[in-house]
Amino acid sequence: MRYPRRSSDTGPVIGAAFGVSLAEAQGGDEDAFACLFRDVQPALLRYLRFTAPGAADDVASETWLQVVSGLAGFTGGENAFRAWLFTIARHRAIDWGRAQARRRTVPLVESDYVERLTVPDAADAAMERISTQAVLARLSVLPPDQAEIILLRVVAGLDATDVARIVGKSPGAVRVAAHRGLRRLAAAADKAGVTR
Amino acid sequence: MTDLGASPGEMPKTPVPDRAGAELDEQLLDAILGGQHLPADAPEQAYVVAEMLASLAGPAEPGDLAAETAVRSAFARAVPPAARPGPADVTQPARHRPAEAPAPRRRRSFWPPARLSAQLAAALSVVVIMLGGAVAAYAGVLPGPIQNLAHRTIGAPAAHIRPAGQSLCVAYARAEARHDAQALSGAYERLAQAAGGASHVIPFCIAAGESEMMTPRSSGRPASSPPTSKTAGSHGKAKGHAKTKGHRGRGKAKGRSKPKSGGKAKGHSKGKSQGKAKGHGKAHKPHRPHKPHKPHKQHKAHKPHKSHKAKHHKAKHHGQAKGHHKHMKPKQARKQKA
Repeated sequence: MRYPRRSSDTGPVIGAAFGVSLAEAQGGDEDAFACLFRDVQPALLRYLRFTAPGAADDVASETWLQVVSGLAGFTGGENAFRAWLFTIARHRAIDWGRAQARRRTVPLVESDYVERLTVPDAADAAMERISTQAVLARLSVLPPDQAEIILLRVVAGLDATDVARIVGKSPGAVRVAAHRGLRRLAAAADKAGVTR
Repeated sequence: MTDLGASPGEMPKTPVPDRAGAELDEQLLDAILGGQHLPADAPEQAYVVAEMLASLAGPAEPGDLAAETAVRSAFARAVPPAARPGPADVTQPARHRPAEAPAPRRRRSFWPPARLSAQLAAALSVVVIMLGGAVAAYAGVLPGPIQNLAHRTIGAPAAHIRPAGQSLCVAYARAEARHDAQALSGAYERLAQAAGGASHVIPFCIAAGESEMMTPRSSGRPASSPPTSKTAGSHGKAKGHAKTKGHRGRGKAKGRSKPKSGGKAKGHSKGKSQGKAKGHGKAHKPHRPHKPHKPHKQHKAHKPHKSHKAKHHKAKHHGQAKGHHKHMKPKQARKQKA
């Protein structure tokens, strides 16, 4: 049996300690809140790089501000926390899209200033980034709803029920859309000659 | 050549359906989505897609956590250090935690919850309306019935009678002071109509502050009624009379109004109603100072006109019973007087 190289670092990684971290963060512990942030932020940014291209960092910051304001009233586990956070992020991305539609701007070249300051290994980071960007670019050939569902399933690590609740569809429709997207992605990769 | 007798170049070029990905069944796709192990006999495309997704869910990039400082500072601003409690037992989810250790809220909103806000707004509205109504009642600016209700309930001032009602009372008092039956009847009718019935006339006028006018005075004329050109002219509306200077010692009445009762006195009036009173206008001495408080004495001088005609004349002169005077016969006038 062959295993695909799959390291789901963007998925739920806190696990059983999530309840403790959440409670401490709700009690005002800054380190506990930072733990939650580090757990979700990479997946959030990858999701927003597709749904709000060019403004992923800004939309992510707005999302976290809203999370901070509503954290005290939140109850649930890690998956529920992720579903709640991605729901907020989706709404903020939709708001950003509407604002972009009203105000057309010419995007500047993205600055890598911060990344250059914090990159420990330039080669690895570059390769990883190229890989992620390439996959995101390949996802763009999909219809937006299919790509978003695949991102929420894979990147955010949510199940079909949570994704259905976020995108406002039935779990069956989410499952069908995800399958169609994967098939289309496989076809596009085959057409482009992408191999392992 | 094919069996159909056509070369491959002559065959229509129908697009070949893209079969890539068609062999990925649902179980395999579910396994890819869930990050599960793929079977050994899975097609190559399944592995390609699985690796693509795995790279999407790969480890965090260095720049992904660049916003941590800003978010932490936002969190610190939202939760002041003084408000942060000590460590609590958080082994259970917040929903199941005991009530004595509730999770403190980060940012307490200034406004109460929506339901409480609605109730508070309703209560405030009621209080404001009641206070405003009380103030308006004590200021006496409410409509009459509401003001009277406030007068009875909270002791606010009673409602004011309109100036029109006041003038009706004054007119009635004047007519009574002159012992003028026609004017009295007309004024009383209007007054009763305005007061809402004959039984409400006196309270109506009492409320209007004219109660003293309801009683006949010895002087015969309310002191409060100022001499106007109308009253002055009422005694000499005919042209000849209009020239009367110093009539009743008050003002001129030159051409202010048209006479309607003077009979056929030529050049004195139109004589609309008292056609029989010929020479009545002539008999009336125009230049004689009119003494309003002795009307009978004045009319006694005109013996032929001592009857109701003279009274008609007076009533008309005072302008109080205009409509009645036009069409009323002497018998009716006597009846009304009775």
